[in-house]
Amino acid sequence: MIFVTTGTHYLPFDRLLHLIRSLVLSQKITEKCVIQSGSSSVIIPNAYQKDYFTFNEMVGYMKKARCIVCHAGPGTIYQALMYGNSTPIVMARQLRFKEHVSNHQVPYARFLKQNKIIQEIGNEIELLRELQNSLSNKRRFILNNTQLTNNLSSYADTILTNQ
Amino acid sequence: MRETNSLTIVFFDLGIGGVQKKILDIVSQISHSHPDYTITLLLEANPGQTIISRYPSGKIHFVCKEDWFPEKSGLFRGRIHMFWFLLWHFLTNPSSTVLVFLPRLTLYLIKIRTLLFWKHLPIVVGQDGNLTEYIKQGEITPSESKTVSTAYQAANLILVPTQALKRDLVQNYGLISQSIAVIPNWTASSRNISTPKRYDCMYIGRFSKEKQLHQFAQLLDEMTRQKPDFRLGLMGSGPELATIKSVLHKYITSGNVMLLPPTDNPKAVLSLTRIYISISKTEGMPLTFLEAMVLGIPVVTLWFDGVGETIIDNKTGVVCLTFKQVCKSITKLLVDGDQYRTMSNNAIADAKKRFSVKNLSVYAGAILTLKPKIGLVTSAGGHLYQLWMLKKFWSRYNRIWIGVPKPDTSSLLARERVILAAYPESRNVANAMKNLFLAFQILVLERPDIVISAGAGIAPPFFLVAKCLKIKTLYIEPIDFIEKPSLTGRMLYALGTTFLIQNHYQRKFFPNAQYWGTTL
Repeated sequence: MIFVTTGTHYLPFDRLLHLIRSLVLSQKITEKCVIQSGSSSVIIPNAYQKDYFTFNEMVGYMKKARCIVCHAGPGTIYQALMYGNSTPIVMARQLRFKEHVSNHQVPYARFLKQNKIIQEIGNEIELLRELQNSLSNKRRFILNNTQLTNNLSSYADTILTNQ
Repeated sequence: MRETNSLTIVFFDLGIGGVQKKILDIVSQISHSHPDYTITLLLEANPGQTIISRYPSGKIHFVCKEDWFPEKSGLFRGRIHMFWFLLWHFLTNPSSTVLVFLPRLTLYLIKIRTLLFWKHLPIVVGQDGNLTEYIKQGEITPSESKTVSTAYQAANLILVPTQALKRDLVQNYGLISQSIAVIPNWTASSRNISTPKRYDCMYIGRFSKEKQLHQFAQLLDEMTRQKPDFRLGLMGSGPELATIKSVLHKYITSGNVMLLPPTDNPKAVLSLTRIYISISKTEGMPLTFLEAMVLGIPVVTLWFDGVGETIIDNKTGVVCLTFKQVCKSITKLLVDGDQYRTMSNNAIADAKKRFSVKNLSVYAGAILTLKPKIGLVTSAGGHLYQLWMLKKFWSRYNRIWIGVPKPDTSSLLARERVILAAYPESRNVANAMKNLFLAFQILVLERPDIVISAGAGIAPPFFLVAKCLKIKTLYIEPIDFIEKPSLTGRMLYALGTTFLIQNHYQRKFFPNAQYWGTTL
C-alpha cells in the first residue's frame, strides 16, 4: 500500500496528486493507494481518498504502508520517520504554484535530502523511481527532544519565582 | 507590580466550621514557615476580637465587608454586595496570590480578575465539597451555574481533599487533571483521654437540608426499640434547627436526644461519645470524621462518593448503604467490646498515618509554590506536531490550547482543553484582527503565566496581547525554516519574546536567539 499525504495546509497541493493520478492512470502504480488530499479536488481512481484523517488514522496508515509520499512539512515527515516502514518520499510545496504562503519547504526538503533523511522528488520519473526503489531498510527514527523538554521545564518552574 | 510574598484569603466568616478551621491552620502554618509573607483575610463578617486573638498577632490583616460597606444603598444590597467589596479591595491593593473557598466567591474572583486585567492575581480554589451537589442545592442561581465551569477552568489551581471530588470536577466540568491537586484534610493528634462516655452516638455539623438530619427520627425509632436509654448528641446550628426540634421533639423531651450548641473545641465534646454517626450523602472529607478517628471513636456513616478515602470499612469505621445497616452496626459496636477496641485503635493509627498535619504543610506548599499555567498557541500541521511532541514538558502543568479548526487539532488534542481561533489565520488581516480580540478575551479570563508557540499565523495576535498583559512569551522557530526565517518568527523576534531556534541555520536570522534543543 502507498500512503499519500498532503498535510493540513489550507492551500491545495494539486501537483503531487496529479503525479500520482497519472501514474495510476498509466497503470505504473497498481498497488492500493490511500490518499489524504487536503483542500485539493484532484480525484485519483481506485484509491481510498479523504480530505483529512485523524491523527490516529494517519499513524495507522503510515504503519501499514509500504511507502509514504508526502509534502515537505516537518510534522508529516517526522511522523513518517517515526511510524513508516521506509524512507519518506517528499515533494516540496512551492510558492510559485500557490501551494504554500512561502517557499520554505524547498530548502528544507533539500536539507533533509542532503542529510539522507528523506528522498526528494520533483517529477513523475523521480517519483516512480523512488516508489520502485523504496526498500524497507530504513533505520528506526528515535525522537530526541529531551534536552528541549528539560530546558523548558526548568524555565517554566522559575518564571513565577522570578517575577 | 505583584507584591511578592503576599497571600489573600477570601471567605465569608471565621465562625465555626471545617473551612474556617482550615483557614486558621493555613494562616498559622504560613506565618510560621514564611514570616515574610503578608497575609490578608477578606471576609464578609467581622470575626470579632475573640477569633482574631487565635490568629498569629500583628501579621494578619483582617478586612471585612461590613466595616467598609454598611448594607444601605440598593446597589450594595444582598450577595452582590460582596462582589463590590472584593472588586474595590483588589483594585486598591497590590497584586497577590488569592486563596478562595466556595463556588460563589470563586465566580466573583474570576470576574474581578477579568475586570482588573492589568493585575496579576493567581487564583487557588479550595473545594471541600462536591461541586455538583453544591449547585443542586441551589446555592448558586441556574444562570450562574453555567459559568461555574468557565470559572473553575480559569483558576490556576484547585485543591480538593479526595480523588472523588477531583473526578467530579474532571468529568463534569471539563477540568484537566493537572489543574487539580488532591491533598487530604488533616487534624492534630490529641491524647486519648478516657472520659466517661455520656452519649452512644453523636453528630456534629451544620444543620442544613442536604445533611438529611430529619432522618435521625427514623434512626431513633429503631434504636430506642432495642435500647430505651439510647442517647444521641446533635451538635451544631443552621437553618434546619427549628425543623429538627419539631421532628425530634418526642426524643428531646424523653432525653434520648441532646441538642448541643456549637463549640470551637469539638474534640472535647466528641470524646464524650462512643460512636460518631453521619447520615449525610454529600460530603468531601469531613473534618469531624478525622477528629473522631484521632480520638479513637469509630465512625458509622452512610455511603457517599469518596467515603472510602476517609473511612476504611470494617477497619476504622463502618460504611453502610441503608439505615437498617446503620442501626445494626451501631448496636453491634455498642455490645461487642472487642470489635469496638480494635476499630478504635485502627482509627487512631490510620488518622495519625494519613491525616496528620503533614498534609497541612503540603497544602500550604501547594499555594506558595504555585506551578505556572501554560497557554499553548498553535496553527495546525507541523506547528502543532512540534508543540505536541513536547508533551513531556507541558503535560506537567495546568494548560490551555488555542488552535484552529482543523482535523489534526481536534484529533490530537481530543483530551485537552482547546479554544478555537478564527481560521484561516495565515496572512489574513481580517482574521488576525478577530484573533486579536479573541486573544484579549482568552488571556484576560484564563490568565496563563506563559504563552508558548511554534508558529504560525495564529501566534502574533496572542503574543501581542500577552506582551501588553505582561504575560511571558516563548516562541520556538519551526524546525523547517532554514533558508529564510518565518514571517511569524521575524514579527515575534521584533516583539522581544523569548526566542528559541532549533538549528544553526536559523542563527543568522536571529542572532540573539537561544538554542535549548530541538522539538523533533
